[in-house]
Amino acid sequence: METNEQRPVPPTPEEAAAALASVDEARRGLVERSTPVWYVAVLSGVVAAVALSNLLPGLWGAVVCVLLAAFCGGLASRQVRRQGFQTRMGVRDIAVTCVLGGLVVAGFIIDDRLGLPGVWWVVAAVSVLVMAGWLLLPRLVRRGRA
Amino acid sequence: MTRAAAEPADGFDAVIHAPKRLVVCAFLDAVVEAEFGAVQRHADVSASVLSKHVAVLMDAGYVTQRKAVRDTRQRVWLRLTPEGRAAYRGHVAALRAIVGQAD
Repeated sequence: METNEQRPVPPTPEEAAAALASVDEARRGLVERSTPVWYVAVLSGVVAAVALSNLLPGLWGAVVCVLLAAFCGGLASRQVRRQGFQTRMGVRDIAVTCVLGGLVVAGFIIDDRLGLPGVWWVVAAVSVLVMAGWLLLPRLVRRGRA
Repeated sequence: MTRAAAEPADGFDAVIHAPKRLVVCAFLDAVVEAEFGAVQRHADVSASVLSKHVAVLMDAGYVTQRKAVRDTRQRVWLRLTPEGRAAYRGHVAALRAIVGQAD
């Protein structure tokens, strides 16, 4: 049993390398059990729906946005409970969130200044592409390395 | 095998270095928090062994736990404290330094 073991001296380079290998293995295992495709697909649909909700008349857009936000919160909570851990947002995740937010802001500006409500279809399509890239690129890179 | 330098590398942490505790810390460093069962599966240890490792990490102030009820059962969620995260990252940096010295 190793729970009480204390090492007063640092490990040899071989032991340190083995310990680092176990760290890499632990991280790799986490990545392999990362977010499932269906989850990202549903999120992509929600992101597109948020953009398209701007086409709804009156307050309906805001109502749909609130409902979608509640749905997203519930889905994320269910996913965390199901997989047993909540992943931390990395630089890539933050970048994708900023791009999606930027797209919505750009949509509002173009719709407001130029009076082009059709821009929300473009925002929705680009958002889905961004989400697809966020999901698929790391998997393709991992396959390329394997 | 020869031991590394006489002085311990900066950041080397004997509490974290135990193999299973290192795996637990690596897992917890990559997440916000994780359920006890998920950590157990990931580290491939029994619940009792993991409990003892977690107790050691909690005594060191590296891990905190939160209890939540789900499906009428109580679940324990674990997370690294800021001190634990810093200690883990310092320890990994120390390991890299030890490996780097040998190259």
